[in-house]
Amino acid sequence: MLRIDDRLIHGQVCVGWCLTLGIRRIVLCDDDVAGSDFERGLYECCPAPDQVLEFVRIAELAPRLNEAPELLTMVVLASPAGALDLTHAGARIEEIVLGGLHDRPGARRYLDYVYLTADQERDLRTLLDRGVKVICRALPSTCAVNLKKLLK
Amino acid sequence: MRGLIVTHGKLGRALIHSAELILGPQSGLDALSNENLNPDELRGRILDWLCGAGKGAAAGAAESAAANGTTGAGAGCPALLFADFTGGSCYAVCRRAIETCRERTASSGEVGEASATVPVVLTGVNLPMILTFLTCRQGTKPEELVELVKDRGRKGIRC
Repeated sequence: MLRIDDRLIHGQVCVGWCLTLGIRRIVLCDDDVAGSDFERGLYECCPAPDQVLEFVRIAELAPRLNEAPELLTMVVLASPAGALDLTHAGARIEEIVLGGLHDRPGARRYLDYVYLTADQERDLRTLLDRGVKVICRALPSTCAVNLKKLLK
Repeated sequence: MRGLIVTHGKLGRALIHSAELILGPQSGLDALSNENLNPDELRGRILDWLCGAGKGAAAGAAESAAANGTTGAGAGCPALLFADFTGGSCYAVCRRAIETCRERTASSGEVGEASATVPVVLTGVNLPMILTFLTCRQGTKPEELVELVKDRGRKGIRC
């Protein structure tokens, strides 16, 4: 499962998704986080004791994304641009769960947890055009909304 | 020492309300929810509160249960942040706000008492922690108060 969330790993990820669905491995894919001792230390506090957390850069993840993981895995990215970079680097992405892109200057509201800037909307449209299915869903217990319908 | 409870939803405000039912009206303790705020906005509100002595409350940043919404001390007074749980966005944002404070303190070259005012965040906030904070903060050194609040918070859980 590949999730886009500008908060990266937080309660909804570790508890709402991973504990609920038995996801044991979380891959935080973000170049800034991977390069910062402080940020890595912050996110290392997040997982439950039986969850594995890995930090990777986008260029490192792309080839590995095409391999079947041993553990049920969630990959977390901060932005649609990151997902697009992954595809540019050769990753095959079938589906993305848009878990949270929050309000910021210049962003347009689509759902309570989905606000898109023009750049983000452009990147998501590119992903859709390439056949990637993008589902908006904050939690497993909340309804899924197909982004394609929202962007019509 | 003043405190700020940063939580999902209305938990922080409810904790202050419950504490005031037990202890009576309090000052120097505020609550801030992450509801409808992106992480940058939440961090900004926390920094406003840290730097502005809770004046952010007047702008809707922090919601004091005390009727006048004021805190008991100004910027430079030691501050303790409470977050709801480790790994949640409130905790992460508190840590980032504290890091910003550290960087500001370091860049200003402050030492001694000024550097001691860099705030601390405790997670897993519960009512025993808040009651300990409110009843023990007078006359207790900040670092001792933090340990006391942690200890009473843990011991407050029994079966």
